[in-house]
Amino acid sequence: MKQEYALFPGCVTSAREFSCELSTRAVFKALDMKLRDVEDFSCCMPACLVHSFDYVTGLALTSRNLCVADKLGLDILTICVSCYGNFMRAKHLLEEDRFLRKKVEELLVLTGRTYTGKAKIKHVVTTVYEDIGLRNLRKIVTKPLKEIKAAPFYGCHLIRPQTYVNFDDSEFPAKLDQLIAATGATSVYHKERAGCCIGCGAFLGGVSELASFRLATGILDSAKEAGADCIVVTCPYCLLELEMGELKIARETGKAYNLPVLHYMDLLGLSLGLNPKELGLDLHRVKATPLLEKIK
Amino acid sequence: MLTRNLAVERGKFPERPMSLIKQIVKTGRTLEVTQARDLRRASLGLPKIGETVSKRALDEIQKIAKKGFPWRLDEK
Repeated sequence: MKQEYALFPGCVTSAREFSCELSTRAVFKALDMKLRDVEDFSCCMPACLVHSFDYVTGLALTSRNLCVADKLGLDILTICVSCYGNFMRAKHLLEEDRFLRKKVEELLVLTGRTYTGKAKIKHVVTTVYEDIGLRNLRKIVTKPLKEIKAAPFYGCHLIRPQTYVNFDDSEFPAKLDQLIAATGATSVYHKERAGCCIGCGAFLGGVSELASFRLATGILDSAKEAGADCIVVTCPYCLLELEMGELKIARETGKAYNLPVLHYMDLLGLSLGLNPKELGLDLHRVKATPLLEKIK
Repeated sequence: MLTRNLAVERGKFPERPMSLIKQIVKTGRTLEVTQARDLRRASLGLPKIGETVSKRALDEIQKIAKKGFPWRLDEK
């Protein structure tokens, strides 16, 4: 029987980064894994925003999504690492703190929903790594991307904090490098690979454009100096921040990186022989044309 | 986090996050999906998702928010 997941695209993907949703759907179809669209999902209710206003209420709003998946009997599959980290955090708190769980359940009862904790939280990258595995992945790659040097950018919530996000080492992660290598591409080491894009509040959130600008400069410099042809991210927020950063830096300083930013689903899709348009690569702000020329 | 909660209780919070909270309670999402954006999704072959999450989901969010965020959601 086909493996099925409850797809949780998240707000940034649904409203802005359509390419991430296109590539995820195309890749999972190619992998013969089923995605179910769930109309009762909402925003993940990020802790940095919603829980800051009221801890218990924020947690209840996040947990409502977990209850929806529990009822369906499906694991949640996120495209965004912020959603992934937020759900992992909520699940951890509900499992570890009985007092807090009771408070949350007092709010959930208003909706008629129950938290059972059966649904697992997955991200597209953790799913490919854990449910398919590197060995199988190497077997199903039909178009190895040998010509490409990719700079991994892990994304904070995929690897931190290890208390509840236990996918990889938070200081020296290696699994995205391994997943890149499985596509046939070369993963290049660069110093900002486990850094932060400040996605939560910058170009889009309006908190600090200066912070965004500086962080994007550091990450792009780091990848470019390592000789990368592209940056590979795991999160639509990182993709948005780095692409917007690249355009802003070019506009304000004249420095042109010409460094495409791909979600790992894009890279995997290319290695499975999928059409770049089907993956939404033409929707990216930084054109992937030079990269696509290399793999023709 | 609890210090932030205390600050909010005392009415001390930046305007931008509060506008996002209101947006979430109104639509179920942090980012607005306009009709034009939804049409764009459809033109790319993605399912249309509407300007708000499903009615049931929105009702549930509003029930939790009304009980848990008793302050200032209706102000401004």
